[in-house]
Amino acid sequence: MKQVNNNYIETKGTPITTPLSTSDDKKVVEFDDELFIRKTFETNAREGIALLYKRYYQPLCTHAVKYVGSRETAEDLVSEIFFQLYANKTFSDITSSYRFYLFRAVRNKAYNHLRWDLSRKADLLEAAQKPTLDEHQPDHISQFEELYHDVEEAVNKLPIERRKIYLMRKFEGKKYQEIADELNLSVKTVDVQLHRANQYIRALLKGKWLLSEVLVVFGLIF
Amino acid sequence: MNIEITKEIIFNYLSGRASALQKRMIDDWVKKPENEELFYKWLVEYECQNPQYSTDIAAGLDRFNQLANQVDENPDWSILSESEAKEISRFSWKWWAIAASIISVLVSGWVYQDAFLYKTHRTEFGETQTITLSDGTQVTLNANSSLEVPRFGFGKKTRQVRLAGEANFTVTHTVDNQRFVVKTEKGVEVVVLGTEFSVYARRKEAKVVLNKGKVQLRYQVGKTQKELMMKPGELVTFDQSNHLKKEITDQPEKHTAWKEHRFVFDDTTLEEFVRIMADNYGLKVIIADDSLAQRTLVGSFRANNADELLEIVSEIFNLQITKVGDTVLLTDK
Repeated sequence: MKQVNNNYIETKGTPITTPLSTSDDKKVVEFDDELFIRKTFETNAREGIALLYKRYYQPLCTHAVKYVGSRETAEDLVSEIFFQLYANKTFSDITSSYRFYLFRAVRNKAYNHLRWDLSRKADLLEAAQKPTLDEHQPDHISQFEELYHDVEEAVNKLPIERRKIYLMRKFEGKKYQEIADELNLSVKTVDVQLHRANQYIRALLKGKWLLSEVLVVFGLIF
Repeated sequence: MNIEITKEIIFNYLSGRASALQKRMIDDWVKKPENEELFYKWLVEYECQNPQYSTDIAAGLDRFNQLANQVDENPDWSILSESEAKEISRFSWKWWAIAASIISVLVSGWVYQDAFLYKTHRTEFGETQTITLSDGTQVTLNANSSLEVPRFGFGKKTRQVRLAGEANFTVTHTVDNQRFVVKTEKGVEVVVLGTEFSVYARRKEAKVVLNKGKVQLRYQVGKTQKELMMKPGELVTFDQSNHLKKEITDQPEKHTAWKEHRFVFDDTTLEEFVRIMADNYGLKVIIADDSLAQRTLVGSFRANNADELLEIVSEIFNLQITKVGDTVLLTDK
């Protein structure tokens, strides 16, 4: 009896032959680096999400922050994507790679967030007529890159001191008080500098990236 | 001139060093799904090599797990987004109990202060009005309707309005994802998460049509508070005893046709037409006999006032109109 049992355990313990060699589905082979995650999703969705977090959270946040300029917002957007992936059970419908899904989603979200952000402080009358920007998608992939490169450029154009404060706040996530202490400034000064930095970046981006929206509004009126 | 898109070109492109021509080629190249796959693969590689800051994966995962636990316990929330789930969890049962007791105390005090606390927009019979609220939200009031907007604190912490009658809302999204709540006399509450919809609340009935976005309905059945998430294109009606009926409408816009003084009839009986005339124009329409009242109207008509609408309808059915003051008698010719 003992022998049989041992044998049984042993066969069970041997590693399963690599699924790649047994599967002839082309798609699976293409995304082979995610195969393990895919298999995990079949049995435990929470575990699958955890694996995706470990693999893609960092690059996703890095990507999103280039648009939205603040790590907090970037992390909000990214975790919203993961949450929806889980809560709506979208993971079971994904036929592309998870990477494809996640990055496409984060780019769309970040793109729209930034455009919405640019529009929201417009004067009241303008804001009232602006449609929600949720579903907008650029026609060309290069528009995504163009947008965050513009953001980067705008940040780089800031005067050195102001840029330093801006980056400490947005990228390092420091509090006003911390920045003030570190640079030997008053909190008030930090506040003013950040406000000016935001306004400057906003002004630079707005002309180019909200023009299309104005056209849409006119289209609706006439 | 077909240059192969390589990883090097993509990396250059991601770092902002691609030429205009290269960008155009990438735009074309990426249209093929397998290329797009490759693009994201390289994008991940690039972002991993050039991190902007170092993230706290454990903290991110913690945050996810907390929310996921809530979803697992409340499957109804599955259609919510993260921010909404948080919002609701913050207002979960405990808070509801506290909030409810505070509100009940305050409400009794409010009754006499309405005029002071609320600015009321009112439309007369046959009049529609478009109002822009301080947060940019647009409300179009149909005839014989009133909207009460708080004079103080609107948009600071909450955005709540009260509606009697019929209105279409185009709600502006706020920075802090603030909810917009429409209360009706019936106790049906529409909680908005950035969107376009219409609410009808007359004669103890309520109707909500959602054109765009997402709204949550809160209503009372007996003593229990219920919630329902609506999707675009859905039409929810509540009858006098708060029984709910959900249907899908393939033309949500027909419920807001009144905004352009259009009336859309879809197998509408003359009996219902009588109700429409009463709601919108304050006219008491009497139909001479019952068989006539059951005849139905189909079509979309433009009418600027009650007389025009009456004329259209009487022409279709070949009716005689006799008008005395606010009472209209319709008889077969």
